[in-house]
Amino acid sequence: MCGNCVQDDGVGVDLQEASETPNAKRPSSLRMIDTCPRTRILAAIIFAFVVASLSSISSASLALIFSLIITLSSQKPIIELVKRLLVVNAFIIFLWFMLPFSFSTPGTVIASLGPLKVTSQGVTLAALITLKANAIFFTVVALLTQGPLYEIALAGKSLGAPKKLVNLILLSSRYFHVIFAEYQRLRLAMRARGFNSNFSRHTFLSLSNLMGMLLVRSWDRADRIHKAMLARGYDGDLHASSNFHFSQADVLFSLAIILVTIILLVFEWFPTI
Amino acid sequence: MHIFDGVLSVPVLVTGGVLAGAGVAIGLSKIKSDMTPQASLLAAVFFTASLIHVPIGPSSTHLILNGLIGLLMGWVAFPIILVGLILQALLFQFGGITVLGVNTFNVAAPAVLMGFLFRPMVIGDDAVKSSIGAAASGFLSVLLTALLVCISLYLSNTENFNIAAQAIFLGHIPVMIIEGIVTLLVVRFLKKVKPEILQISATNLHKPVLNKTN
Repeated sequence: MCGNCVQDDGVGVDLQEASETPNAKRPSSLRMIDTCPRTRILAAIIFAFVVASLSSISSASLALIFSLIITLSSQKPIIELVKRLLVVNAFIIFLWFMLPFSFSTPGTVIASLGPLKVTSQGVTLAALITLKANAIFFTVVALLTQGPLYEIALAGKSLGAPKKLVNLILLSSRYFHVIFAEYQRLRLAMRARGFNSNFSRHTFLSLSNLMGMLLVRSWDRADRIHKAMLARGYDGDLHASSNFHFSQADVLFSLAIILVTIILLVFEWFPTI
Repeated sequence: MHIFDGVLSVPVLVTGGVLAGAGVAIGLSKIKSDMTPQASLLAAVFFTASLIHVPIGPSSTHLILNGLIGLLMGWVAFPIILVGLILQALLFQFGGITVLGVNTFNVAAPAVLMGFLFRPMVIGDDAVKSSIGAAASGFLSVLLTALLVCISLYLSNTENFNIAAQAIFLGHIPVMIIEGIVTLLVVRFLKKVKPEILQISATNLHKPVLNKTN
């Protein structure tokens, strides 16, 4: 696994996850997989920021419903999403322990636990954050983790993201797997020698040396990669054969997202409807 | 240590995005194209580090190492941390698109500051001074990041995030100590095993280092 994994056409940045490719073609129906990654990036960013700006429970609930529809139409495995959901909601759970009890402006007390007063405003705020956080999570994951990461990175490049940043993303997402495998190998070697991670001076020294060793090895590996890339005509740019085009699916999808955004904003501005 | 979508207010998100954008632009201008592989692999290493769990008493925390990134990379910390957060958002599918700017700034700005403050001490010959500089940058970078996280929460919803912000700051005090210790030990390891990483990385990141291995 050395430098020759990166070819100058960028194909080398393929990831294992790339295997989830579109199956049978049904051009007449609206399927997310047919949309161009560029459309999905723009849609995800617009939707996410609009949802982040929502301040009423009704519009935030609507946003969550829309995001679930988008998720279902993306045909992502639901079990995988639920696992991520737990991590994302860890902070939300923390807020649920804090906000209902800590509303500083005197709110309507709906329950009390000894000295702790649960205010309805605190509960509302926690609920609002929960709805918004999950709506954005579902949408972003559904729209941007379809297919391989390099596709999104290249689409970002064609939308005007800095070339150097895109190259960094391409190379580091490619080599993250290599370096992580290196880490696991070193960790296995430590275990084979009886290493046991506990709260001790020895653990800190060992883990720090492991980290240092990862740095040293990746530094040398980067040198080899660079040489291999130069040998293949690297001129500071990773040329990729990406041709993104705006298809019928994109038109339909863009219209759908614009409609959803307008509905959300209407609900936000006129909550009494 | 990072904030998820849906918590912060839009003005805070936009301010964070603008500040992070400026930092990333400066950082990218410091990477010459022939150093892209080096910077990419360091980004991948620091992302791997964030998956290493270090015990704190009966519990554990993952490494952030933004102090070490700042010591090694200077301004390049901004693009490196942004790439790490993008990998986390998309490769690991954790989301976090609207908060990308705020989170990048909160982690990278202290890193860059540590680079400016402690790098001369750390790369110097005096072993004691070097150790103090490394430990201080590990400790202070997490302290400042925790502070920035609290400020982001506080500015988003002044009266109500107060207690949550305080709890987050207090919760990170053990992490600061751990990061100080680990940064100190990693710097000592690098000084023994491969001092040129410390010597050349930040100041000469834009210069080719190919000839060193001929």
